[in-house]
Amino acid sequence: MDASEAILERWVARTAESYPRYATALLSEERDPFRNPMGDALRRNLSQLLHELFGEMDATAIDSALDPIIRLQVVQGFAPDDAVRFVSLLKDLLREDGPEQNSEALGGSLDSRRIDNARIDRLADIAADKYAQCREQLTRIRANEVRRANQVQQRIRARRPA
Amino acid sequence: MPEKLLSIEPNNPEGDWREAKAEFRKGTICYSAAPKNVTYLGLPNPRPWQPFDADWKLPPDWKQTILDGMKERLQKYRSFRLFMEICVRCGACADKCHFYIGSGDPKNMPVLRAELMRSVYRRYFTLTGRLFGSLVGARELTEDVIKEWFYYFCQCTECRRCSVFCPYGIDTAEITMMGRELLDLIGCNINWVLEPAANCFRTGNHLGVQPHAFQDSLQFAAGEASEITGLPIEVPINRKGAEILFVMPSADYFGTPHYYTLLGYLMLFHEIGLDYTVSAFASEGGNFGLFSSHELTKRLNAKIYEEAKRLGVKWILGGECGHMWRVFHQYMDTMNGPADFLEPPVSPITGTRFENARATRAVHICEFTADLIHHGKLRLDPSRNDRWNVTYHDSCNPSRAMGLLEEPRHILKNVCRNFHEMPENTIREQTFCCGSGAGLGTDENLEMRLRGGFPRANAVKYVREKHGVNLLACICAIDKATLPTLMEYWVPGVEVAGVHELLGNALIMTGEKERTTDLRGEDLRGEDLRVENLRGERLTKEEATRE
Repeated sequence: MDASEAILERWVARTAESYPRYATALLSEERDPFRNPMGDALRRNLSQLLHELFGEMDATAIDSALDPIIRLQVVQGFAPDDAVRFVSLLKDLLREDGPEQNSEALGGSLDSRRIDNARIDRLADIAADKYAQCREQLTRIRANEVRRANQVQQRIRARRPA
Repeated sequence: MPEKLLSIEPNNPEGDWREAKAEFRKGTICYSAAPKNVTYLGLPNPRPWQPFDADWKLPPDWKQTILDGMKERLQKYRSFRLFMEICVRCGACADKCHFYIGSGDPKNMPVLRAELMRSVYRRYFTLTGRLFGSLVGARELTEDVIKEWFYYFCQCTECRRCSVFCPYGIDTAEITMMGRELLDLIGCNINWVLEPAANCFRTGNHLGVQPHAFQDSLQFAAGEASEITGLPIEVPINRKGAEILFVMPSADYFGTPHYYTLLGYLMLFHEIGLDYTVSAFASEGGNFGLFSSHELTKRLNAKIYEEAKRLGVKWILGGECGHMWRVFHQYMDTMNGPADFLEPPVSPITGTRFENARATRAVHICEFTADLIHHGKLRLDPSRNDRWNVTYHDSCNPSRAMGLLEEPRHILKNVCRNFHEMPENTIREQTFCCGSGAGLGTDENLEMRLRGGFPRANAVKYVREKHGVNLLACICAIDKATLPTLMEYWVPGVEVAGVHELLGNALIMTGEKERTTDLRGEDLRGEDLRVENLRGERLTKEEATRE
């Protein structure tokens, strides 16, 4: 396991800890994406986020990686601060490791200053925005569901002569 | 990795699972049944209350009522007694429940959800439990236990996926059914079950649609089907002496996308000249009694045979519905049969005898249509569905409760040219539930439904990304009501349709005019002809002009 994988594994494990105790093993161990879609979403997208944090901070890539994680936590009853906490967990992890080990994670090519807190804070901000967007979407889709449930009657009314 | 996990110190308190604790939060629970509905159905303890209230206003003798109810059911149902005794906690079911997979809540592991009731069974109905209590996994029945039962038995959609994996064949859905029956005895029920049930008892259908509105909706549908095809399509209602009684879920004539499935049925029946009738009394195939108690299931189901008898039909054809088929296939014969006044179903077009329906005398529309296609009785143009890239969601009850796996696929593969299966461990017997069945599909429970539906959505997302799937076909009314919501949240760009909507699109009807639109009013070449009004509703040009 190279250094970046080690960071990822620890990030996945720490994030999984925010779930009930008996979910942690499932989230961390089962790799079938259909038996364990939540764990798969966490692992794949945390990996992508790590790549961006250590790399170019591409806005589109960050958005598409944050979306599945936040989207899940929104419907799993996470309060806003709890839902974005997984981002700050990384700050703790990196602080524990120190700049040398972090640099090794990118094959020694990394300028350790690039893993500064500002990048992680920026990620947390985007995650918070994403949380708000998902909550808004819940309101919208609830209304759409009600509308679909009555659509035939609305169409009948619309077709009747005034 | 395992060593790393061992080194983790979980932040969350360990606790003991036997400590009953349920957190009722809006968005993740179903509201209680309104007193008027409890009263209408003659069920006990009608009163205003909500699950998030501290005081549930249980009747004074609630504990004895529950224990007496358990005793009665343990004597009456051998399966219940077996399921209370034989689980060896092998864990095969543990990670099979969509609510556990989507939430991580351990009490949604089927084994543990069942244990919520087994622990009480041990305490009051076994010698070891009475003597050794918690040492043998027994626990006292308290109000908190009742609250926990309510919370978790209303997080089981009775989909029976876990039972597929149980080496002993324990049907956790039946444990949930027992749990809900017992809760009913003390007035702890949910409105989204009892209101449709009360409506059904009053008007014959869950939505409370009265006969004149039923007729109005069906004639409107027949009119639209006529406009699309240029043929005089009619729908016979309450016609005595018809050969077949057709029963469908009420959502088919009320909501979308169900309604397009209804158009498909009407077009099919017209094309083959079926001698059938629908009924304003048996205007509901679904049966929300199933999510309350066996008594209520039986009461609501009785109208089907009664109406078949009154109208003098030979057999029953049933539409695309989920739990309707669990009731028809597994309970109707013993609850309200024998249907000896009906004949074993024979297709009037192909002559096929539906031996599997010999007892109930009720045939699923997909069996009927697949048989027509198999015998080359329908002319089909699958290119009319070319804008759809289709996958199929096996609705839980038709797949696991009656083994209807190939027939819908046979239809789909004949009516559309782009079809892709989801991964094998998410379809057929292993299909993932929509997360909204068994009376949980209400909007106040939306967040819980989206958790439970996540494994299904995840598999749809996979085929969307891999094959460009944009349509999720299914044969269940609850699926059609709730999967669009699930898709909107998890997999935008995927719509939901019934199998017979796609059949209606592809069906080449004798004497029809050139089709320019599909059943949704959208251009067959893929151009959307509808316009959106200020309320965000999508209307045909004609409807918009009238507005």
